[in-house]
Amino acid sequence: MPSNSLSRKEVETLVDANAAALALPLTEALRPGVVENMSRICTLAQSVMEFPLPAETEPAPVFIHAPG
Amino acid sequence: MLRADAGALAIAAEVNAGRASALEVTEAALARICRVDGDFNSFTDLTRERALAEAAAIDALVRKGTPAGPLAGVPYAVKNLFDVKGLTTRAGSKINRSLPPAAADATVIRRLAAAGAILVGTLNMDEYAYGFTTENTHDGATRNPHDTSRVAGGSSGGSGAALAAGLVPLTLGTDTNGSIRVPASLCGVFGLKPTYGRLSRHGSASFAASLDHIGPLARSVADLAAAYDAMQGPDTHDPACAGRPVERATPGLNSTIDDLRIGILDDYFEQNAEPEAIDAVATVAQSLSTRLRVRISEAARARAAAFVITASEGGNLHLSDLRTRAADFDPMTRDRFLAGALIPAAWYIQAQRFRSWYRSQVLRIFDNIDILLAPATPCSATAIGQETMVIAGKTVPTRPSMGMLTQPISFIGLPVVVVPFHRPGRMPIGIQLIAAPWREAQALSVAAMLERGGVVSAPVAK
Repeated sequence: MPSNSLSRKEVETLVDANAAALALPLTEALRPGVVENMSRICTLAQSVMEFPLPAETEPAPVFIHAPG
Repeated sequence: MLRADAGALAIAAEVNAGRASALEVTEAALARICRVDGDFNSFTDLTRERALAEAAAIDALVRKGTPAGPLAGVPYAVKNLFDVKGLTTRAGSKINRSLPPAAADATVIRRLAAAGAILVGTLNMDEYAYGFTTENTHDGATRNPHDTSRVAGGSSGGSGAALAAGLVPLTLGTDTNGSIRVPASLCGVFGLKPTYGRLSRHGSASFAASLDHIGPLARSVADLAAAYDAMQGPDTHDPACAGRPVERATPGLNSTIDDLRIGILDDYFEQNAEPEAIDAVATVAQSLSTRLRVRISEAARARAAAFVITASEGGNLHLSDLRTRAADFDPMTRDRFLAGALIPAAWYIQAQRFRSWYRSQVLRIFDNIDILLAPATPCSATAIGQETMVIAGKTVPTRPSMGMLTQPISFIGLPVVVVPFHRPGRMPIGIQLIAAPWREAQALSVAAMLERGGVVSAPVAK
């Protein structure tokens, strides 16, 4: 497991904070499943975050104007 | 006299020659679907009136001596996230059922109609395409025609099952992380996920726009290529559609593949596969006379990045409904979309930056290779309702793991043909033929060669 994965408590904090920021109501019934899924995503995301990328690497999608 | 399992091009040849009536072929397909699809649950809607009208129009053209198109009279069906004029686009959901009917056909449906094909209905899928097994709580699971206790794969499960059951010779699906290739593998049919940006997605419900592709499934390579050719062409309505001119694959299907350099993906693609999948690749490799092994670095990380991008874009797309009616989502997708909506921007952006890096690494491989081989799924079809499976000695969750071998490839939009490998008394399994960007024709010509040699095939399930 990546060394900087979040703890369960940290995942819960992340879920609660971001849900509040997005005005996304999470009932007590929904919350455990969301936390579990976020834990899974977090582990995968950390493997991406820990990979060193050259600073000049841009995000893959490129904005292009439609032909005039 | 056409057999019930006649292929698309065989049907078109008979209809165009006036030896078969498109109306009779269509009525036979509709009757067959009504008679047997209860066993498979591949269809969610039939477009009977439209199909009969289209078929009558084709027959009228043929009687007048007017060319009716390369797919004249061919009955086909589409995953129910494609817009069909007059039908509500359900996209596997309950929420979409209250939307008004589509005002127009999706671009690729218009193009197939122009080629003479007859739309008979729409097909079951995982809700909003977020799944690899088509276990849809609202519309029921689609059952694998080779063993109805098993999944058909997903999210285009209906598209795979309808072919394997012999209901239609051609279907359309979509593939974001594997949703054409997984059902093609588990149902034992051919599938094509073209290069990202090759085929217009206009009029198909989005899932993760960065990764969404549309493509055909069929029971022969020639049928697959014919459908692919009919759907090609620029479309300014799809921002990702590259605007490339039509590059037909059909003329080159029987060209020699002796000069193609072919390699077997090892490492991640073998470590996450069962012996049946590895053996299938080995059999295909042997018939292609290759033992060359090729490594894609960071494939596991690519899968992780694709996962993050998918969850984030999918969650954002459905944020409004997640806020107001989360309970109406399929329990199989709801918590995943909710979590995806909450992903920090840094994770998403880093995943997209990693995608640029990974693409440049993989494209370098294609300086020396034309086709890469890998299993399409870690194993053959699992049981409906199965929560975990063992892959290479590790217990993994079944549903998300079924796409482990497809995700690192679609992550950078490489074109892939899935060829089905059948073994007596066992479930089929598919092999990915992966080509460089825009080289669908090469992958299709390799698939055609394997099919001619009897190594791969897509018989209707008994």
